[in-house]
Amino acid sequence: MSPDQEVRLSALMRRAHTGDEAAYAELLVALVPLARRVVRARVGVVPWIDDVVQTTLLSVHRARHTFDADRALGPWFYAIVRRRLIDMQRHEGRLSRMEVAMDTPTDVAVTSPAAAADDVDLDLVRQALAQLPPRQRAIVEAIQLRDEPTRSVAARLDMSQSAVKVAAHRGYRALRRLLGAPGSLEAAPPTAREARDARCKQNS
Amino acid sequence: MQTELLIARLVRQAGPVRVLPPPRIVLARWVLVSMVAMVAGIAWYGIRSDAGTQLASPSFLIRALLAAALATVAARHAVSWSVPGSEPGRLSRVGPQVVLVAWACVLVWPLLGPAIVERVAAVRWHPQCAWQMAAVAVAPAAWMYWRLRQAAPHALGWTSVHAALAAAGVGALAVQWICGLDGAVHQLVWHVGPLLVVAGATGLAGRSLLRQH
Repeated sequence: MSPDQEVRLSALMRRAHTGDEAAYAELLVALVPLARRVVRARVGVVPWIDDVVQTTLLSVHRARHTFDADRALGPWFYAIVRRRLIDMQRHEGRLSRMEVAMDTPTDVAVTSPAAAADDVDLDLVRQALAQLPPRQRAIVEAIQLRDEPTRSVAARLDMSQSAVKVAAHRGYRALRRLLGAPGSLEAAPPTAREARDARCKQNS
Repeated sequence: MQTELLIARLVRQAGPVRVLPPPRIVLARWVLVSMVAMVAGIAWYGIRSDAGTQLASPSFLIRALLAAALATVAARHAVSWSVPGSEPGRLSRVGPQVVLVAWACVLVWPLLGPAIVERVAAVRWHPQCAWQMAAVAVAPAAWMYWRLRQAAPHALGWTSVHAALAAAGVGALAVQWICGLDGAVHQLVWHVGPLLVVAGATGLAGRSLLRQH
């Protein structure tokens, strides 16, 4: 945050304290790129940048009464961004651990390649794949067709492993929808919700 | 939700706010509340009969000084943790722990020797000190938690531990003037012990005590 920006944003916050909606809106809009820059500088390009930015804005809103007009806005704001980033990293870490645990498919249908070829029209699958967004298609092809590990896909596409898994799951779901048959991609790993539902059905 | 929509929603919700006083003012007010609670507690339970002579005792003064230091440093940390950007630096974060260890060392030092186990085992059952400490600490603790909940604490566990240490430190300081037992083992078990238990318990309960809804 440059000194000029610091002065301008502090003045906006002081006006926002008095209930000036225009100043508050201008302040929040100006804080978005700053928050984004902090996240990028600390963790690089991650798919959850906007989540950190939005939780930061919420925290700024809830904590705006703690800003002391006699002090600089920068340390106050960056402390909030750092804290929200740490929270999100912990959250992503937990999510990632859960997803690794779900990677072993529980109820994968065991079929011979010949039988599978009979069941699935490969042209249809290719057409459905072509309709996926480029990045999602690249991830699905890498994992399902080339049997590439998630880690190397993540490294190659400059994404986190959890982001790759999320994109892959979305891709499988989109393919199922496009192919119009729920069992069309039997070898695809189930999503967390699907696996849970399957377990519930088995138990009942 | 898109960021633009979120901003529009937050702006709609925004109105004039009552700005929180700076941490130093909050701390000064807490010290005032604590002094009133301490004086009231000492007056209620009765000041120890040898208080006048104890003022000339270096060991008594050191213990009292350490209790006061613990209360003040921990309170300062709790208040600082509750305002973004005012958090204590990496080195000063361990301030309360350093004071606590120094206090424990002052008490443990005279005990060191071959009969330490027998001396600790022979400690008299004296829970009054713990109750009196808790009674004096109630008002400073309540005031501190009320102020912290109004602010924006983010490290809830640490903030809560420091708030509890501060209040318990006030209680311990008051008990120094109430309890006539100056034995190191007694002080360790019935003055420092309850303080650690309270701090640990409130640290664990920090999330529910300080979470804002």
